Amino acid sequence: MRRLLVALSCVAGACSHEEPFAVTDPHVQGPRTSGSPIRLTYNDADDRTAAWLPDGSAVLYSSERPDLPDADRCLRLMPAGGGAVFREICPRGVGQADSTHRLESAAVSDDGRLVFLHSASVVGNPKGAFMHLMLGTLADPHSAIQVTNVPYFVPESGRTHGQVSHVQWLSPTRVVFLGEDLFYQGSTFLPDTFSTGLEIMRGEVTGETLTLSLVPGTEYASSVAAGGDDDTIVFTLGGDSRVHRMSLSTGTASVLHDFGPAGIARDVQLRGSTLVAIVGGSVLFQFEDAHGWVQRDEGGALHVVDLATGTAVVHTLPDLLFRRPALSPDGTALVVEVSPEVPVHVGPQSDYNATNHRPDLWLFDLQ
Amino acid sequence: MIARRSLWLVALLASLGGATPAAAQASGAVAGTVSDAESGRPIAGALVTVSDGRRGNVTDTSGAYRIREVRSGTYSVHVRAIGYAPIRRDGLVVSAGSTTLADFRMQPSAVEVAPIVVETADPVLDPLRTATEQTVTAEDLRTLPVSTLEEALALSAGAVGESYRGGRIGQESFIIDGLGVKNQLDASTGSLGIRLPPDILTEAALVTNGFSARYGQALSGLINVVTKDGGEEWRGRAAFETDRPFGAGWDHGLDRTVFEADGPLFGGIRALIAADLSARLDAEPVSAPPPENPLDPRYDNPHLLPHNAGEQYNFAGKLTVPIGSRQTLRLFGLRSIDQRQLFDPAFKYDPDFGPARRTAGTLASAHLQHATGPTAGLPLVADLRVALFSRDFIRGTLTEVPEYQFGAFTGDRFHFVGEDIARAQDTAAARTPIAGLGAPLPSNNSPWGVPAFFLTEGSRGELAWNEFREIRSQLDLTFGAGQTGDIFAGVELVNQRVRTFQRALGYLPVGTGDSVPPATASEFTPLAGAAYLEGQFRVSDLGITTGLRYDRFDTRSDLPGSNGEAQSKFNPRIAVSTVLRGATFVASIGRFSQAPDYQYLVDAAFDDTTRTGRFRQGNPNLGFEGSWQYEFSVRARPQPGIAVRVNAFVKRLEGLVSSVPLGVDPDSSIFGNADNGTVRGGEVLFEREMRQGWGVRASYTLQQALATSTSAFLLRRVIRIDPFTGDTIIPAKVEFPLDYDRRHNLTLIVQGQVPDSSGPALLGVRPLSGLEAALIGRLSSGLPFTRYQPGTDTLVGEPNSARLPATSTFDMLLRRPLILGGVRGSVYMDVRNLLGRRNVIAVRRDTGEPGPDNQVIEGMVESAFEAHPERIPYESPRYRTHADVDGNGYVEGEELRSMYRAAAIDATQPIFSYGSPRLARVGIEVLF
Repeated sequence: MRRLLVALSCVAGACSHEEPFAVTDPHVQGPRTSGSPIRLTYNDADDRTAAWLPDGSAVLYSSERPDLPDADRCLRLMPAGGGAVFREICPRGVGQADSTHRLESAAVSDDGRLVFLHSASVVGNPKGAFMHLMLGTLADPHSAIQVTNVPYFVPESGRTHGQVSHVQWLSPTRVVFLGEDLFYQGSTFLPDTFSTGLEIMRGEVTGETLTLSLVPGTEYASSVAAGGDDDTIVFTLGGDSRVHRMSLSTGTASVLHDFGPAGIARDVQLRGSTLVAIVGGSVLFQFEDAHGWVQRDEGGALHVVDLATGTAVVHTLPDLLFRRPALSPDGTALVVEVSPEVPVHVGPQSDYNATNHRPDLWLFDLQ
Repeated sequence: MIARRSLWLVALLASLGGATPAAAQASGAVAGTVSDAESGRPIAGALVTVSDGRRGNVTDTSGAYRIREVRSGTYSVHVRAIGYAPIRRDGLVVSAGSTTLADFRMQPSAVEVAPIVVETADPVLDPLRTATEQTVTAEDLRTLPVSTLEEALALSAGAVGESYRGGRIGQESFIIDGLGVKNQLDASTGSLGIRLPPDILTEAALVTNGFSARYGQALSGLINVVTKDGGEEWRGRAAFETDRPFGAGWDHGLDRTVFEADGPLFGGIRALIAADLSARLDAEPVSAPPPENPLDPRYDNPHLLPHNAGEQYNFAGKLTVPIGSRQTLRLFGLRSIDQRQLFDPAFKYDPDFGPARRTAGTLASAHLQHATGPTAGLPLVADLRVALFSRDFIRGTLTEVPEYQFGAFTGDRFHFVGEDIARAQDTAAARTPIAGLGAPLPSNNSPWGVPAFFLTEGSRGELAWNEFREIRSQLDLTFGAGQTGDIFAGVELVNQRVRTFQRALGYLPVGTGDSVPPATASEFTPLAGAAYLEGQFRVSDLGITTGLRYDRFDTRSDLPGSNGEAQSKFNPRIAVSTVLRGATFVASIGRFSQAPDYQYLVDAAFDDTTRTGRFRQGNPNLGFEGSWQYEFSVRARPQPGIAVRVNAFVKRLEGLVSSVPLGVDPDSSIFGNADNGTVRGGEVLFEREMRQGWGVRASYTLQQALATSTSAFLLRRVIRIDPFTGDTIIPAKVEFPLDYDRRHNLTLIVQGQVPDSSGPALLGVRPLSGLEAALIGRLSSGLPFTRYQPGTDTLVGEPNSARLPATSTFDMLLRRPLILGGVRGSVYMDVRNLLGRRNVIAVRRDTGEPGPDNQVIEGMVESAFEAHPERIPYESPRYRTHADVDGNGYVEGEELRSMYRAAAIDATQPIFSYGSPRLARVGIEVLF
């Protein structure tokens, strides 16, 4: 009788239809290994410039696509704990397939704004790339607009910045980043390229406009990061073991931490009382006739300092070096570039430098 | 000058028939004699009227009468004569195109007496019925396992779907209540655009032989539909049917509701409204076998395809307005919307990016009929019709996937990316990528992960839109030439408008890589006309029908290359019939012509992935497609209630549109009237009428359809390469089977009914009482197809020299009448392909089988692997744990190759190579 009632109710349209087959999620969930640290990416090409989403749910990074003939670098989103990339932002549009497009140094603000560096060059030849700092939203990154051409001239210092890195949001209307000098040595293929920090820039976002200005007193800066509020930055300088803190509104700077004999500090990050930087290792700050003062960097050790307690932990991995750590918003984890250990080169004619080490991303649990 | 002369001819022909009105397409006649019951002498001057007395005639001195132009239906006949008791006879059935004979014997009394025996004509033997008609009645649509008129007509002998007697799709025309309706733009590749709710029908007939000169625009078949007028009292029917109760495997997401009501309004005006709303989550279910790989999502759920839903909305309304005593005005409106998501295997794992299409059609007509009175010396029926028919078609990418409201009903209009550009025919704007269309990317969502065969984001980039609109004015006259003859004449004028737009690969700018053709658009306003004159006479048992039809069309376009000349054609037709030894013999010869699809007049841009060319040059100077038909048929009734018909026919096709080469480049071609062919065949039809609770209809068709081309869009395949010289050879004439050359077809329809109040009783109820059952069996030989060398464009053998396997289906309908609380109705169960037979309806041209062979698969694997041999790292959305056999965090080498193989097998599943699976539905209907 029950089945009859069910059938009658179905005739009356009161029960639902069967559904067509659905596609189950075929992607891996979680990292390949457990513990800490764990390797997040296994890409044969570069995985670089990681940043966290403001809610800490995912890591945004730039990944080279070896499966594409033009070797584009796309932005990828990976779950915070690792696993399969769940979203990829690649260049679109007419002609994108016949040139190499690179989306790098991305950062997402608390309100979902996205800023990143976009460069386009002839396939296999990054020299002479068209570069722009782009501003959009993570929800619709393909509608991002160019807000600054790169290179750009800085009147206050009289310098021209050929590249930017360490892009960080201080607030939904303010970004800071490191202006760099970009060199293409010798031949024009990628391994010859290297960059070195010049000074820190701040950008005020108004609508779809980015107004740039120099942060005074940051000559030869090698990294910059948010300092805990929208007025404070932390930064490092070339050849310097110290981490500095500065108020943008007053210009007042102080030393936040000194790694001392551990070596040159760079790639600084700060969340709460957790300070992270790359220190020592394969790095060299020197004057070169062809370039002036430059910091050549092949990576170093990962230092994690609890400023509240003064405890410090140094992370190393055999035959590997670290660069560009990214602290999670709550300061309990970090993602860092890891690449094979190579000696820093000392001459301008080297055919190898630090910008192309096929790094992968690793995750460290700091708790 | 030519156009002016043609118009003059139209006027002349119209004037020749000007004394008489015709139009009888929706009508039949009632004829017979009235005699004195006692003496047997004929009664002259007796008044014979039908129904409300608006139609009738007076007997002549021989007692004979004839009432013309009586619409199909069931009538009451009244006979009155001075000195005789009036006679009333109910239930007289009149069919379109036939004469119902009714003889009356009157008692010399002033008192009305009970009805006297009436002899009605046997339509099987009626010698004036020269056309080969296969009729579908409203009752058939209700009692047989069919849902639509098209499905019912497909049961006819000589029908292959909507192809009739070997003709291509589009060689047929619709006549709705005497009004010609045809999608003249792309009938050979598209639908009519309007669908009649079945409950609005009185009857429909498929006419496949030398049809009357009244009909044009067709070479192979006419579908003559007669719709109901509103009744004299309110009545109606409502039904809902679904396959929800059947669960997995039988539930294809069907919901359908039909409604019809008709009755009087006021002042003699009668109204009819009808609706047929249906939707199915899988609008084209197939019985393809499930895949063998359990990782394939179809493995456990093979019967429902995603993004394949469709919905149809059909609304119709009719007003019948009497004007005075001799005029009737009929206003008819029909609106149909058909919108479909289209499953594309490439988007199997990202179905939301699949294509879709929408077709909307509208027919609005006014029909004014004038009939002279019963006592008029010159019986005349004049029918003036004016109608607007429009059809709007679009296919492309949806702006957003619609949400279902009930079953597959969305209740919303589909919107397409770039629709505004298409409707504006803005070819300049369409040179750039169309906003909203993205290039398809390799999908990351398949179980195989590899970047091959499956797509995501973007779309195919197709955007096609067209609109056909016409205003048809039609005057038909039927003139009574005594009791044994009729003369029909008529003229029609059709103002048409054609607008088209096509854009391929719309996510790329025109000209990209020399592979993106420019968007095409056209707009022109053809003018078509026709006139006919036909006489139909009966002398004793000899019937003669002869007529001449004149057709013309003028594209009136400034299309490039147009010579500006109108095309015209005279089409003579004659049929002779007689009754010998209880059988009726009919011989007919006729010439028929139809204007070509207007789509062939303009350039076509299409994404034909099987060929290098995506552009076909239109030809604005195309002429009529034509045919000569010869038929001989015999109809007999060996026993009461049993009828046998045998038809033999030859149809010579000429000037059919095909693609012909331009110059020596085999990919440069133009449409031309270059195709000729022949269809020969025979049909045997047997019918045992429903008696003693059962009846049978059976038909067998044997035919051969040959031509020099099989499709207007495919280059004439007679081109060959000389194996010795390498030269291109175009033989003078090589015929090969047409695509619809079905050699053998057997259809069997068995119906039965359990008598009321019989069968076993269960708790006081007799569940089988009144149970109706209908079974349809079909057995058909396979259609032809062309084999190609794998991976090439080279034919294997002659075109269409290979055959698909035979197909068979059995359909069943069970209906149990019910009366609950004084409400009549029924419950029913309709099952198609009852035995679940897996019919192969298409095959791959390279293998001759539904699916690819290993060689094809391995070729795909190697090509894909060479394109992307990179190993897939763990974090990639393409990484699959099951594929990483050694667990090293990479899918690489043979692991990768095996995934390409699995993906190739998945992507080449021959889903649409198979016909419908078992489809069941249950329904409930209420009659009121």
